[in-house]
Amino acid sequence: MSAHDLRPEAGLAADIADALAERVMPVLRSHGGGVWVSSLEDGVLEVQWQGACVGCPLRPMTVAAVLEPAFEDIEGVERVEAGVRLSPRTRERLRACVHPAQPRRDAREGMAR
Amino acid sequence: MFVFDCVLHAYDNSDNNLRDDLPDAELARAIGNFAPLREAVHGPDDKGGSGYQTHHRWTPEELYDIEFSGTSVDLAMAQTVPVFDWYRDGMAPVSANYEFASKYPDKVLFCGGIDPVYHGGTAFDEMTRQKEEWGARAFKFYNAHVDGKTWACDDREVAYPVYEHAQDLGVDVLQFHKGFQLGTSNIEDLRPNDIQRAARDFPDMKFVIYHLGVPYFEECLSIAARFPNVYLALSANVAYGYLRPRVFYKQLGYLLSEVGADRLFFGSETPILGNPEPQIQFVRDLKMPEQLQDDYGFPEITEDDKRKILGENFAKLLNIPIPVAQA
Repeated sequence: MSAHDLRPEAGLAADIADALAERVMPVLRSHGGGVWVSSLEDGVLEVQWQGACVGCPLRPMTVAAVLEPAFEDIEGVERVEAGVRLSPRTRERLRACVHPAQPRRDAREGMAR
Repeated sequence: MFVFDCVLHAYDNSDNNLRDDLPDAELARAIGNFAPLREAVHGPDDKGGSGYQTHHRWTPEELYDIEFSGTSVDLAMAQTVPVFDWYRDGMAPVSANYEFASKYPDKVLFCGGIDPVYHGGTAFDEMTRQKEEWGARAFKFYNAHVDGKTWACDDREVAYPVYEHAQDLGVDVLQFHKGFQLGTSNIEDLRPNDIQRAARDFPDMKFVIYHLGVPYFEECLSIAARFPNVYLALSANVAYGYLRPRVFYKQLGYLLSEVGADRLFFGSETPILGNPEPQIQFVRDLKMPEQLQDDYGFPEITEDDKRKILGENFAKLLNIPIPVAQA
C-alpha cells in the first residue's frame, strides 16, 4: 500500500507540489515569473500568477506549454484554471504545437545542489 | 439580468454655463451637441432621445425619463464632469448631478468630482462637502486641460493628497476619464500610464479608467491586466460598437483574454446617446465572431460575462447588494 492510498489528499498535494517545483517553477523563474496554487476544488486546480507573469500577454502560451502538461497526468487534477481565456480552437492549436517544457535534467540537478 | 449603468451625466450646456471669454467656446458648444450621435444609435427619427434639446441644463425629470422610462436599467450613477476649460460651473456640474441623484435616491447614485488645480486650496473642503453633505460614493477626475492646468494622476504633490483625502473620507472609488479627449487638449495628457504608480502606491483604492484610454488601448489593457485594483468602464466604447463593431469586438476580446470579465463595467453616457436600451441590448447580443476566435484566440462571450459587465461588477465595486430576483 502506498502513502498515497493511506493519505490520498496528502498524496495529491505532494504530487502537485512536486510538479510545481520540478516542472513549472524552474521554467517560470527563469525570467522572474511564477505561480502559486490558490485552490483545488472538484478537480479544478486554480493558480495565481506571480512576478513577471502577472499580466503577461503570453500567459496562454505558458498555460498550454508549461502548466497543463505539468499537471495533466496527476490523478485528481482535471483542469488548470489560470485566469486566461482562449477560444477552444486556439487552445487546441496551442496544445497541438507546443511541447511540454521540461527543465533540462542537468539544470534541475544543478538547482538541487 | 441586473443592469447598473455606471455612468450618466447631468450636463449643463446652457449659454449661461459656457464661458464667453474663450475663442474656442463654440467648440464646447459642438461637444454639447449630441444629436448626430443619438441618430447613429437610434436612427433618424431619434426615438430614444425623447426629442430633448441639448443646449440647456438637463433636469432630473428629463434624465430620469431617458434613462429609466421603458428601459431595463435598475441603477445608475450620475457623475460630475469637473471640466472647467469652457464651462463656468463644469461640463456636468456637481450640483446638477447631485440634484438628479437626490431626487431619485432608489435609482441613482451620486459621484462627486473635483479638479485639484482648478479648485486649488478649496479642493479638500469641496470633497468633504460632496461626501458628507451629498453622499458621494466616488469621485471623478479629468486631468487634461487646455490652459496649463493639466495635472498627472501620479503627481505626488498634486494628486496623492486628493487620494489620501478620499481615503480619509471613506471613499475608495476613484474614477478617471482617459483617452477620448475633449476639444484641443493634448491627447497624451489623457494617456492612462500615470494610473500605474498611483495604483501601486494606493493598493486599497479602486481606480476606474473610462473609455479604455483610446487611442492608448494597449497601454490600458496592460495596466488592467497587471493591477488588480484597476477597473475599466466601457462607456462610449460600447457605443463605438455601432460605428465599428469589429474594433469593439477586438477590444473586448483582448480584455476577456487578458483582464477577465470581473473588472469591466457597462456605461451608457446618457444623455449623449439617448435612451440606453439599444446599448444594453447590444451587450446582451454580443457574440464573438468566429474569425476573431480563430485569428486572435479570443474566447466566446458567455452569459456570465454579460451579467457581470452589465451590472454585477459595478454593484460589487460599490458594495451594493443585488436583489436576489435579479441576480
